[in-house]
Amino acid sequence: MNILSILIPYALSWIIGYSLVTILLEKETKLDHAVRLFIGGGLGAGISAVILFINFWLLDGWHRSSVILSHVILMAFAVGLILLRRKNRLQDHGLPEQLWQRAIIYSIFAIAFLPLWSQSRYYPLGGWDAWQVWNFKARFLFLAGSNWENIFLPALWRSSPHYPLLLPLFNVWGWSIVNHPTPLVPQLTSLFFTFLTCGLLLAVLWRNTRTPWVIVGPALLLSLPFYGLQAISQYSDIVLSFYFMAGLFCVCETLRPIKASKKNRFPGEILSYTALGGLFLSLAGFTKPEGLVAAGIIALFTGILWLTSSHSQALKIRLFLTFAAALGIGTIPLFIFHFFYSPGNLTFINGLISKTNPVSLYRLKMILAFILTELKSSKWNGLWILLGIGMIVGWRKCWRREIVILPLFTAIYLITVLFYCWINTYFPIGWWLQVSLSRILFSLMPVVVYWIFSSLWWEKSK
Amino acid sequence: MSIKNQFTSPHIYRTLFLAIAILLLAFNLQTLFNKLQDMRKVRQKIPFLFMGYKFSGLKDILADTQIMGYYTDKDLDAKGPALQFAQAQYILAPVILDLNNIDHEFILFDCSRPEIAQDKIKEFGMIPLRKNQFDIILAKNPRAQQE
Repeated sequence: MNILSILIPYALSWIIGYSLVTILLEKETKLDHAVRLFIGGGLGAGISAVILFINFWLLDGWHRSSVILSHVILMAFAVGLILLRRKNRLQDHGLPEQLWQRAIIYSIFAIAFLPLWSQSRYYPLGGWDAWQVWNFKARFLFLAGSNWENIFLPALWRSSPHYPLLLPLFNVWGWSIVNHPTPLVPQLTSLFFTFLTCGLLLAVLWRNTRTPWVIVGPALLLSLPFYGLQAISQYSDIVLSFYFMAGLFCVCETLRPIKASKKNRFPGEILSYTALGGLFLSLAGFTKPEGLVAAGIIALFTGILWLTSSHSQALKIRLFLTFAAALGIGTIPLFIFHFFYSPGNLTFINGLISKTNPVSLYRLKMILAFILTELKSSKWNGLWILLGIGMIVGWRKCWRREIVILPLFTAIYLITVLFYCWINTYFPIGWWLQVSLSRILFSLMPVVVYWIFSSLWWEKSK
Repeated sequence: MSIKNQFTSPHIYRTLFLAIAILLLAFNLQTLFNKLQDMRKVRQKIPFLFMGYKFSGLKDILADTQIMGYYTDKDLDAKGPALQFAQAQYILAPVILDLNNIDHEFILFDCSRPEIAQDKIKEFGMIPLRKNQFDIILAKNPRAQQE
């Protein structure tokens, strides 16, 4: 099997995503290729999964040629559009600022990523949840032909048939050229999303602070063995983590004050970030049910922050409309999935009304005890403690309007997910927290690093 | 930002944070190196084992089957058997394994001892079709209608 053939779908998705981001952000005065590259990769992956979902929905099964053709047409369209627009308005942006510093930090990042590749070779099939849920679904979708809807049968309750299909569909796309469900693809997908998540973290920190010290943030994640293990486990949490990062970054960009005198922030650019934010949040929802919860929380806080911002009334209306439109369009596949396919959550007992499995104070105490144990657990090598110190050190800057959504989201999301663990009494709480709390924290960690490092070096921001 | 700026008084706490972060990074790298070494040693001794391979080699019989029974006397709340079941489901996809439902045309018997599986096959009046070296038995239910 040729490794290049396996890489073709990733490259196609990346080109599509990068091109669309470039088109959307054409009004941005300061080109930031790194940010575009990383968010473009994730957007392209999401678009590929949506194309596959539409393909399964309309053609009733996996149709390789139509999926490849759709990608080629979309890529030709997006790249053609960029070339046409560039021809019309030739611009010389010159070399990026602080080129050498950038070159050094991205080289360090590339080196820091290498051990993860090595680590992933020792776990070629990922963790048990990957076989049971994500990789099984991908394999099933790839091999089942017109019987693909059997994936939603209640007999498969252990594989959580109510989970959305972004990750399995992207893995199916990865198999499209080689036309074989090789385990190398889920392995590459987890590396791909880890690269995008940590790369985006670095690019965003650089954008906010312009200091090379921020390389320490992503390097801390990539060098932490437990983080690496979670990242390469082939679960959907790394995908979710990326969409949290991308969605929050885009939203934060819309919360910067507009200095009309400088004319350095056009509403067009803000609207583009708003649209991208909406799309990323909808893709988070198509990744895992928690993603939809996160999208709701972020949308709520973003709305409040926009309403109380210094933006003009007309801009506020445009922001809301753009965000609602992007979120609405992006969630169409999720609605089709929920209304036509999902059998509903088969592993849910509402402990608030159940007489046989009621909620208890014991469950709540267990949750609180688990959080404390988890945060100081040696598997994190004290990273949460370090971030706590960072929060204390940068306390005053941590609550800046431009980034306040990061801690708000982290806290409310964590409380919401743990509240769900408390009221859903289907599973014993000890087992559940043992398998999922570390994953929840793992998916939030880049956001927390983004928050703390941005806060500490904020004064040097652009 | 100049390095000198980092160490001026307004930034002293931030510098302290950075110093701790760099120390933690060094510690992380040390543990990562040890972890990779350990993993390499373990994998040299025991290559990666995927229990799902115990269930391979049934594709020819199950070519047109969408759902089949999976009979086991093992406790699937325990980690080992649960993993084995998950891997069986993965390797046999797109055939769905219906746990402990013996009404289907084909049933896979994965019991703690081969005698238990054989006794159950007799008891349920099934026809054993194939048995592999891991004592996994594929049996046919003569009473079931083709699915």
